[in-house]
Amino acid sequence: MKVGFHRSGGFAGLSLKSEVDCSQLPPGKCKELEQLVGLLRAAGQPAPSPSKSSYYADAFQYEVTVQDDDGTQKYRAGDGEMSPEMEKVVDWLTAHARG
Amino acid sequence: MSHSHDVFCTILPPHMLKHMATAGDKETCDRAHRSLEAAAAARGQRAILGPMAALLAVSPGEKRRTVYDAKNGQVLPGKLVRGEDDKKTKDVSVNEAFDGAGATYDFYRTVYGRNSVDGNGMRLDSTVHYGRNFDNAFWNGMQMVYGDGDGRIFNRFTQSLDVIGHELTHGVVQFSAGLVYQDESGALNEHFADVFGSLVKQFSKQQTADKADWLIGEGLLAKGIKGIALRSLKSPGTAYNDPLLGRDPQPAHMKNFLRTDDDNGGVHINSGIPNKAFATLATILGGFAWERAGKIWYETLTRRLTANATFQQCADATYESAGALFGAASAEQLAVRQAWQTVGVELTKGLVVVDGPKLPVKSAPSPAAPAPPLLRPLLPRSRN
Repeated sequence: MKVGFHRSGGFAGLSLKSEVDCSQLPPGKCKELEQLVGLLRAAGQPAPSPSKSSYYADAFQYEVTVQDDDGTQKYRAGDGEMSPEMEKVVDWLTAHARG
Repeated sequence: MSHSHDVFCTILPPHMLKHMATAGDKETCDRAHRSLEAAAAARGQRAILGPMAALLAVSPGEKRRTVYDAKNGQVLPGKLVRGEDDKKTKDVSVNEAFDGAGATYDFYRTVYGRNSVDGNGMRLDSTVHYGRNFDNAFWNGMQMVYGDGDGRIFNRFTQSLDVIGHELTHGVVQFSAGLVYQDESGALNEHFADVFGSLVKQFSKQQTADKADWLIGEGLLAKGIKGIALRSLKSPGTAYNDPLLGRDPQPAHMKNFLRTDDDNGGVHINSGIPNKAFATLATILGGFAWERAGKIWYETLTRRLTANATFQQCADATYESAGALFGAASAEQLAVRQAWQTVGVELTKGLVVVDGPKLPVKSAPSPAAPAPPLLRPLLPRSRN
């Protein structure tokens, strides 16, 4: 499984990108990520694009792209508008991207 | 959030809560107000309070602040930890959010006569400790939300007054021009937030334009990060240059306007262009920037701009505002033209008389015409 992560926007307007290849991770970390992605998938259809409401400002926008044998799926959300499943995946990927 | 007394309150119909909100003692009013808001928020409809907002608003000039603690979760607003009449807490983020909201309220009230972000005494709600190592602060249409930073790149976001002023100004924009948060109008939304965020700080320190640092997020960058702030209105593109953070990407001229899909079309990037125009105007005029430059910008934001405004339309609107406030062909109006020219925006407005006898409209100077001379800083006008 490969997971692409892109965070953009936010108060500073900075972009954070990473690509995670599960097969390159320590087994424990790979399993952790697979479980979180599994919960995200089970939560239903990929989340629609976050509302571009003029009321939200400085929120981060997140895009998670999951690629595996089941195909490719994109998940998008913004700060304050995320499902709990998306929150957990975003937290994991953010921490990983920061190193 | 729910409290036992609010559960009772929510089963009361809105007209009863409305009565309680205006006729009861302060505690009853507050509880009724929170109940109405909680119900509206649950429907995702804070705006539904619109017609009742006037009844629920406090007397002009009274600010009402609440600070919540999200305890490193992401559920908003979190646990109520400080209300308007509560003393300082032991939590420095809570106190900073509280004080910063107060300073921003006082600035808008004192300088422009504006009663809170909606002009109608809206309560100012802040949540601190949002998320874990959250490198951000944002406005969600109803409240401000602040992270603690990760300690490696960013410190906590409540420690910069201009950040707090910036977030609250997004609320002011929401309740005035409603600039769409995308592309040019989004960059203008960001621009006004930076301008008034900076002016809140300058006002709190009573700094003149030449003494101000014109920085946004000074103190936000963690120790060891090579940078002085997140943005510079005076010199866009120079605030930081660091291996972890990258280089400040803001342009200072229209020729470097960035077209991108990131960041809602680069709203935090292209805001550098109008930011520099404003800082330039304030420097030309001299004195306190909120008095003339800020007044022109406030007039523009609250009375002239539309939701999809472009940089060109904004520039033209500021020219009209300057004419309306200070007179046609006034030094202020000429300085506005000059300021926009320095960032590559030529006004489409000629010498239009806004007040007084009607004169034929003259066309804008031809490209071959010499640029007007740089104006020396003007002495501040005497107060009436």
